[in-house]
Amino acid sequence: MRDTITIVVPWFGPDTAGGAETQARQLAVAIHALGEPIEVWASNGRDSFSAPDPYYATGPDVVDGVAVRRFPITPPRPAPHHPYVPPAVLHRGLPAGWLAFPDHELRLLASLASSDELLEAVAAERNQRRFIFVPYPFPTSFWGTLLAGERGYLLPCLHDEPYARYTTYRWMFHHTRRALANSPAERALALRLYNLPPERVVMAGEGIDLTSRGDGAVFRQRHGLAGPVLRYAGRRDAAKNFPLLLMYLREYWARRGTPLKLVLTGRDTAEIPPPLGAIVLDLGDVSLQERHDAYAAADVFIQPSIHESFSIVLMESWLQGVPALVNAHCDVTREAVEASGGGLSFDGFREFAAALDILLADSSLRRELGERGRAWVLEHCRWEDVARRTVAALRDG
Amino acid sequence: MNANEPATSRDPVDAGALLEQLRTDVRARRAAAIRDAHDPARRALQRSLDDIEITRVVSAHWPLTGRTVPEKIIALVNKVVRRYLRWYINPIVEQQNAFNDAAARALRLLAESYEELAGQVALCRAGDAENRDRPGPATGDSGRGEHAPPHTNSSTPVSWPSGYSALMELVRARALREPEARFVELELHDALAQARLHRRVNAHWPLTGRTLLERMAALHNRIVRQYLRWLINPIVEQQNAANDALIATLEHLAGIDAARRAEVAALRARKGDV
Repeated sequence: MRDTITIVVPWFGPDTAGGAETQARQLAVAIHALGEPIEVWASNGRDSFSAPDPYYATGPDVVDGVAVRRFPITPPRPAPHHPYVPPAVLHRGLPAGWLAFPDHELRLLASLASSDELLEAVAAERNQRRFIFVPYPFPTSFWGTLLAGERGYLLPCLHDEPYARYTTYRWMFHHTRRALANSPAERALALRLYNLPPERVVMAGEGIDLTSRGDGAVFRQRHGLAGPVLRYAGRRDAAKNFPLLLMYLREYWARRGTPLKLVLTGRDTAEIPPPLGAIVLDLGDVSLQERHDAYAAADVFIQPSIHESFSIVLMESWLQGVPALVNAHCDVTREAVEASGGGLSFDGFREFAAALDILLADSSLRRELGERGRAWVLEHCRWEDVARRTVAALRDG
Repeated sequence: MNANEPATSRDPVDAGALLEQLRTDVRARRAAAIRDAHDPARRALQRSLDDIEITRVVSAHWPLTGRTVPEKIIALVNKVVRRYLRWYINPIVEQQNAFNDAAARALRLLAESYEELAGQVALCRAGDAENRDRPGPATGDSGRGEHAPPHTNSSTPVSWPSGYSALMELVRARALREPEARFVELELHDALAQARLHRRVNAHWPLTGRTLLERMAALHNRIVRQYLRWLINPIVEQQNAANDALIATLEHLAGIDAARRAEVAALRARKGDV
């Protein structure tokens, strides 16, 4: 009998937001469609945007046809609490080298939401399962890989950020059986940061729903948009370079006087100075269709973030045939743009302005670049292919 | 070539317009320099910022000396006590210094941002004055290389290089002609993030040890700290309240700064629309 593939993610459910969470959900459906036994384990919390309280019912559930088991959330223990070791780990012994982990790294782990009961279940059922832990920074992944041993795989969604250099995560990457990368750049980063043998990090890739169709004309009409429309989707925080985007756009607007509009969607809020209301249309949390309509209505999709392992939103915008402008300092998105020819990149404001000038100047160029991006997505982002590569990495490794 | 057509790397540079912009810029900066030199508020602000720089570092190791023999004995005892307690006092002082450093940096950046914003307003006014003296419509700039919006929804008959690399060469060539922009707010965001990170001075960090000797020393220190908390904790709590208030003020100022920048950007954009 085949082991049950078990995706372990901090949060999981129809109301859960976040890139890694969306990836876990769609990957589970794709693996299920291949006829592989699959289950998802998560805490009963909602997501990283919400308070770490119970949101979903504890126990078994079914989401998109996939069996889900939810466990009580263990709330974070922020500083000045001592580092926290879950009971499941204490009962089975701490990892060798435990004393070498710096205090602040263990405190970071303690400050993130987890589930002690989920970890206990990982330890208890490890012989019947192969676990995929998503994403890398959470205690469910760190302690989970420790408890799963040879049956633990990591879908890290790794970003080039300070935390990635912590010794705890280095230890985790070395003790997990294999890591599954979303993009070649993410794989290269993992190999470089942790000095792993090449076969330990597999390029499984990531997919998106290729059936989405947005109606740009209807969206423009609905919101009274006439001039250039720019699009950003994602978290509105400094980690995603959202403030940088607003500043660059403000300066571009001041210099050019172009009556442009940046369309934002998403649940999290951002403080946008009222005078920028002239160039920012914040729609907040919208339906899936409205989100795709907004992509389709855009002249240019801008991805300023440098912390990406794949960028679902970039692929979604390409699917609607919209050219992209990405941050040249992000290997993942820049390499995707280079490979697809679906847009341009910027390194600093001057290139941002010059690239935007070029993209906004000619609709035929925009169409051509957008089509290239769309063709690339259709070729590289099929969930079925991703699921096959993922299962192969688990069964062969 | 009309205003909506994109420039290419082979475009001739409009030397006359460029020189005119430079002249406007120089005139505005000269006016700003003269104004600054005679502005007592600006000089006072600079002095205050200099004072912050001089006083922001707290030291727990000022000289302890005495002239007479009893004073020297007292100084020696104090030195011993200070040395004995440095495991306790120094980390507290270092935490406060980390906060002071970030808060002082945020204040300096806010002052720079204010100056830069004042410069932008001066350039707008200089542009207004020039446009008033000049026949015909304003060219829509504030003397910083601003130009007409390039967007068109129609397909302009332009032959673009194909492929990412060739297009990026064009982007880089055109970027060289784009005036540089400094975003003080980005540095301000960093400084505020650092200040937030260090706002809470903690007098109760874990005292642990890995060897038996270290654990015994840690136990001793915990007892001493427990005894001295009547003295140290109120000082730390007062300092933390002050840090919180300072952070809140800096955040409000940063918010006001962002709003003013947006207002000036709107003004500049409108002028560009003329």
